[in-house]
Amino acid sequence: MSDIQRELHLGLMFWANGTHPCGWRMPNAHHVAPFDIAFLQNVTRIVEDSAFDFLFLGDRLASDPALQRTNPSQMCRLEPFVAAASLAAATSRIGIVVTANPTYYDPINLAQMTASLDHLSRGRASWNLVTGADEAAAGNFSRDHHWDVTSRYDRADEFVAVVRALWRSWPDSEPGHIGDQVSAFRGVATTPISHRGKVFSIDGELDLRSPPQGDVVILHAGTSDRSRELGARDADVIFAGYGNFDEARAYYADIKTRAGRYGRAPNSISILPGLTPIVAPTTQEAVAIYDQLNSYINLDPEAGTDPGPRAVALGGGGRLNLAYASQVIGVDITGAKPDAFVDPLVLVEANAVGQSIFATLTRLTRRDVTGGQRLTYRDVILACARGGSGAIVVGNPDEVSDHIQTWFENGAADGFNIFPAYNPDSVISFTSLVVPELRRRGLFRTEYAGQTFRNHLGLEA
Amino acid sequence: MGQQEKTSTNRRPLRIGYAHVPTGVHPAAWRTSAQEPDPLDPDVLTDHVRIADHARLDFILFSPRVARSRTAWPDDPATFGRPEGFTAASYLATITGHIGFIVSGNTSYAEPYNLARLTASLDHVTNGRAGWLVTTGATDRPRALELGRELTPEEHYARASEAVGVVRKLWDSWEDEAFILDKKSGRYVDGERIHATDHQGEYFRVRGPLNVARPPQGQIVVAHHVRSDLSIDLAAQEADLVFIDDDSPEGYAPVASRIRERARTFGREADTLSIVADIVPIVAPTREEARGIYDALNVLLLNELSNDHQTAYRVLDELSQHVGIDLLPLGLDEPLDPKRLSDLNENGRALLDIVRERTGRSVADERSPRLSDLLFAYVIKGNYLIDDPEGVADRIEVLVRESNLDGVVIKPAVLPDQLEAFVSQVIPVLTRRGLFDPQTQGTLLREYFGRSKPQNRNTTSVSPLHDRFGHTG
Repeated sequence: MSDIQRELHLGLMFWANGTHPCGWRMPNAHHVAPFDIAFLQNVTRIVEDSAFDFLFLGDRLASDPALQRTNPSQMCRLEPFVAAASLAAATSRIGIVVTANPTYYDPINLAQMTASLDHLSRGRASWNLVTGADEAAAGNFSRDHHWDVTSRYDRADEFVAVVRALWRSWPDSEPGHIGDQVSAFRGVATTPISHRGKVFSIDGELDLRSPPQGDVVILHAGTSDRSRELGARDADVIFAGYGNFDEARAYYADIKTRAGRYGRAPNSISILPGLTPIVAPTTQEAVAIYDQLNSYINLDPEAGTDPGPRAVALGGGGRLNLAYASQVIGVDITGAKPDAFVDPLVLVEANAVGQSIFATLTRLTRRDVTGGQRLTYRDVILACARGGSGAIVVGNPDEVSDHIQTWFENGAADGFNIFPAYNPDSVISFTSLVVPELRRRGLFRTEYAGQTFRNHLGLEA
Repeated sequence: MGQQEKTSTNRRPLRIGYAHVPTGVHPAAWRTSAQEPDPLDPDVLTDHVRIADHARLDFILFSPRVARSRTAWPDDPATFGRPEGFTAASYLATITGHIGFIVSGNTSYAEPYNLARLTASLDHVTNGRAGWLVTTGATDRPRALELGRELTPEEHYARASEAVGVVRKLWDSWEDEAFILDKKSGRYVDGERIHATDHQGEYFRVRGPLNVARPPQGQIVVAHHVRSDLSIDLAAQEADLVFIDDDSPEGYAPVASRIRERARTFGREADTLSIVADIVPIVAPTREEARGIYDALNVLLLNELSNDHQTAYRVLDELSQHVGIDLLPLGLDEPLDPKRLSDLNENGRALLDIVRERTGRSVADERSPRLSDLLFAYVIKGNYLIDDPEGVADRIEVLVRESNLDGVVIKPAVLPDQLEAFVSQVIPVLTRRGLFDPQTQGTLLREYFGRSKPQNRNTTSVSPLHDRFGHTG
């Protein structure tokens, strides 16, 4: 713990159809969301009114109708730069994060687009650098196969250096006085880059002045060694996927240590795990919402335990059936009726993973294998199939705030990327119920202190 | 069908667009006020585009900075105040109501899958007002990137042609009826109505489908800027809208007719292709005032040159070689000696024509051109139409008729002054003459050009088009 007043950072992971695979089926969900720009603007205004640090626009470079079951928000969406600029037009303070993958992008295009977005948003642009674990994209980009981690990061390392150099190819971003004229241009010379690397050979400068933030904020996510190095060296924000507190702490410490080796202060890099809050005024209501969301999930047929198409990489998890669940927990529960209560002996016999899954289920649903509120096999199937996309916390505003505070104050997080299960209700409930509680506890700002995204993160321009 | 006949007997309203050039296209535009607005300021950009939107111009064009002109002088640093087109257009999409956005995407440096995503998404956020200006590495600033080697112009255009075909297929990945959106059954989409692309070509292999729903226009307006024979072929095959420019308006007619001819050989109907030409109007209530605006802009450059003898020497040396007589003994303010002018080569005589067009000064006149006039005719590029409102309208009418054009693209000399002057002074004249119709038909950019939304190539059964996303298009 540091004596310096730390500030919690909050982002919204904006999957238009919600981050729960069936969020769009909730009665109030705005289910025609992905291409409804007015709706996307409205949700962005909601989190800006709560002084969120940023809105996060993910990306994926392929589509597959099969995703409608596991992850409809990843099936189709507006291209993130296009979405971001329209959202910038509707807001004035919130940071806007655009995901772009160097594996399939050109550094000059990317530098121009991020710089342009930074001008249009007056210093609120951010680039989430991902290298793409998604094999399907290769088929859309004239590639024979999906690149391995080494090839992707070799390119990404050089790519980010080129983009940074291009951002600086206009040394003065502020209009200056020349003689009796105030000029955005006069006397300002470019310093074209001349880059010769293993991957790129580039001469040139931006078509527009350097971005107002100087360096556009860079986000990164990933767990591999190369990813951690890139993040520790180049990222201002790391988006971490760990839902488990101990793993999150270890990751947090590792990144901050690596950042130190690059001469960076620990607080110059913010680590934000994902968090899915299911919150309502009372615990009981929150659990009811969680159960309702899960009630829409259709189980898979019993044959087969293979994960569905692309499911794992997209957080969709494994097969939704008893056969797969049996494999995960190490107890044969095939033949059970999904809606029946779980036999207490299953918990006794379950392996370590299974024990942990049962503990999580009880934490989320307040149900157990004994007592008045009982878990069903269906609960177990869903829990086993769920992939790790950050933690879920179900509860009243106090309980959700406790979770956030614990992680924040114990070396596991500098804030959270909030996953809304369904839109716009999950966003509204978090901002109206949890944000005020976080403010009462002195953890979160009541208003923006600065104008730019770098300001929100406490970074120098 | 005679092309001439088409425009004279069936005088359709013109399509009028606005090409966004930071601070204005004249190189001195940025110096016209003591504190010029920053063209990258989103409010400034919005103000400029709203002028065009409120006047019901058909589109705004965001194109990349092109290579410097022959001369290194005058430098125009304002060209660097150019926002990237897709982000700028999307920023403006929801704060404008009518104007289309045509944005350049370079097929040499971007993959078709990304270009399809960007253009289709822009069409969604604009409710069907997007256009794609296809550019290639053959005309943009050179930038050897990962192509491994420099492509020849032929290869750049072959790549472009293939890319446009792929992008068109990707736009049709999703049928309009693909979305079921049934909360009860949990069926979000009908997978049978989402189609793979499975393109295997010389430059690209694209499996598809696109991860963006079909754009509201179905097929987005594809535009191309003709700059060479290769680009004429690409335009004639693929473009809905063709931009042409030339140093002199006499150049428009032959280019336009060649494009239309090529389009016919590719089997296209004449009315599926629109050709528009760049103009730089300078308008004021009187012709004298309009000419005064042009002269005043040039004086700003002249002052700079007077203080920089080295540059002056270099530029005049270059001009001398261009026109075939030695101009260096002359002062910039000195009138040109009519006797010596008879020695001018063809380039020089063409420049004198430009001087007369722009300033009214000619050798035959008592107001003889000065050396500086010749210089500015040489370094200030563009088809300047400098006149009073009726005169600018006349010139547009003649230009469009004689070159068989569908419209013009306004490149304001100075922003916002000359954009405002054009819409407040010239547009009413064109409207009165039936050459401009502020009540454009339809809400889709395609419809502004008289084209309807096409059937999806993957739709097997014909069913009524409907739109699940509440687009007003």
